[in-house]
Amino acid sequence: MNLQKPLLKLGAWKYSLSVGILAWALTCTNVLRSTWSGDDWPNSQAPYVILWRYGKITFRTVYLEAMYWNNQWMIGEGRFYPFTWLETRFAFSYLRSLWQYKLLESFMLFLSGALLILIIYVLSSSRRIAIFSLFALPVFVQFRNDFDPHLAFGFMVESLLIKIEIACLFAYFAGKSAKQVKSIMLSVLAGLFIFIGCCTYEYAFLLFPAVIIMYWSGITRSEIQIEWKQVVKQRIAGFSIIAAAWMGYAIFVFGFLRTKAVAINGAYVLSVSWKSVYIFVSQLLAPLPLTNFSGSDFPGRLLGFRLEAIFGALLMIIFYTYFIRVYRNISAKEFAPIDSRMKEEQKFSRLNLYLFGSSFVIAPSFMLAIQPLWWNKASIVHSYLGILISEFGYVILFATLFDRYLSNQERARKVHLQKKVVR
Amino acid sequence: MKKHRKKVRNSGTLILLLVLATLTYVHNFADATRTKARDFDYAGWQVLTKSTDLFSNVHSKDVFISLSQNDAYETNAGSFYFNTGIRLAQLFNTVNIWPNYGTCTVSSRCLLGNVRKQVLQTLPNFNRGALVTTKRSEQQTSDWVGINSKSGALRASKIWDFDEYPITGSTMIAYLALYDETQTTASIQLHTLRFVTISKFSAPVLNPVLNGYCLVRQPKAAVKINISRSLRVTYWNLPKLDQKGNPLPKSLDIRSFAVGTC
Repeated sequence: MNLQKPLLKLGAWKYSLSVGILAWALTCTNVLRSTWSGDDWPNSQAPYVILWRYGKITFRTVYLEAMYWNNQWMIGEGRFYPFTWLETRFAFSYLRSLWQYKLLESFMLFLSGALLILIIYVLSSSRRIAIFSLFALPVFVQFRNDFDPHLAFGFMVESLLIKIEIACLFAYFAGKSAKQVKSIMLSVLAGLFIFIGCCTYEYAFLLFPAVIIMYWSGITRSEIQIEWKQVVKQRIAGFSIIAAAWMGYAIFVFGFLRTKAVAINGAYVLSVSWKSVYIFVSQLLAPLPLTNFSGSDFPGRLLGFRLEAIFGALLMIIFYTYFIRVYRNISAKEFAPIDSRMKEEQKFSRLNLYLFGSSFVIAPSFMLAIQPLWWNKASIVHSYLGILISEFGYVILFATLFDRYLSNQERARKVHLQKKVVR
Repeated sequence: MKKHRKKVRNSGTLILLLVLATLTYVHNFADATRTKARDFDYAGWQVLTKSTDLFSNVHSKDVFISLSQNDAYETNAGSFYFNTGIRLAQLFNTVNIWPNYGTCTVSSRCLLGNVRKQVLQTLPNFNRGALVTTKRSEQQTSDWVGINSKSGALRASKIWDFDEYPITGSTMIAYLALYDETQTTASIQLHTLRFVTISKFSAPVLNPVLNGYCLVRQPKAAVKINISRSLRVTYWNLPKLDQKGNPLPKSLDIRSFAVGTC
């Protein structure tokens, strides 16, 4: 008796998607177990300081506080991230209880992961790659001992990722749209989200290639079949808008603010040496699973935990066991690309996925490698906030590579069966 | 048979995924729990400011000077105002008031300077506005620091020396004393000193000693227990006489302040 048959009829990918979402949500719930950490300590004091200084917490006083700090950082360090100041001041002022803030933080982590899966699906048009990515997320998302972007720092990196992911989606549909006006409108939105992404945290600046890959991918799947000369002609305006938003940020921050800054303390002062190579390589390896495990993690910690930890671990085992069972019974057809056109473009899609994933992996590593401040600090176990971006990049690379491995297997099996029939 | 082997091989990769996901989940659980290392410090501050009467003589516009002031954590004027309802003019870090605090030692006969003079000089530095472009005037006029920086605004304000910090992993001390403003250096009026310890239920009550004076525990009625946080507050007094039977000095230089246990 095959218990998997009813599932197949209903679409195993839907079940896998549901279980994958549960596994990802379970990973995110760990954020709820933490308290304020890193910059969240001073951030959590913001509402009380506002109350003390201005006598009341209102929309206006919270806004003034955010703008005060934004201005201080512009003038002092030449850095521009008003969105982070606004988001954190408002979040901490109106979500004062720890559980409220942690709920928001875990939701932001969940959402950034969910949008990543959506992007992967859009980019690959493959349910299989999307679901593999979903099950890869809990493997690669690893909390860190020092600068941890998952638990702390006012969900800044998650917020950045969400904005860039939205920019990527707009860019894709801008490239794909057959209507010129619609394409330009979507390009404007993509440019806007890149800009506010950069105004959330500088790492977004280095994720520009990811947005362009999406735009390019959209063009290649455009509903209109046109010649390359026409493509350039039709899409140059949209591309220029996206590039202008990115360049606008670069000129404002690097061309203006940084040159006028009065108290640059070493962060984001750029240079290159042989140490950069080591830092770059170490940061490429840092997001890999198990890199941040300490000797005391296992088995002592596991055994010493409360029931919740053991229950959570059991749930994780159940989710993955279910996935493995479904996976073993799913035919290649079930996970085949959703239309024939995609089959032809599968190779090109994979290339885009590799490039997209690589841009996510490389950007934070590059950022640390060119900062002398990090040359004596960073290592495989010591990373910085951008590590979450790299983890997401590896999720894409892993899922794509694994899908390719399975496709090769399926092809080999098909060839083997054909030979058998001929005989 | 061959087909079966293939299935096992693929499952092996996914089983590895399962193992890694489970291990990572457990690691993340442990790492999230690790952030709670400051729980005692935080709870101690909450109990101190919400459930003790250490600050019953403190009024709005008074000034605190503290070595444990830290904007990165909860020991700031904002949190103090929210918890106690007392809106201090400022909770200064001692180093902000006397920048040479670390180098100007008692043994070198260095004087720190009169406390009120230093406070009035330092307070305007905490004003907002000069670097603010948005609604600058509004920020300047409604800023509590700006209001208190005006001439004569702090005339009736008292200046207190305050500190709170853990001496062990389960016991925290806190004290408050008025500054002796007649002195040309930083000294407190010893008779105004109020002292509490906050400790976990499970920990023994440590008897504090201040500059060699073993503190005397107040009667049991003064012990407050905060059940929700499982912390115990104990109030302490200075002895009337020192060990040799001599009366205690009237003032004490804050730099010679040394706390331990009897």
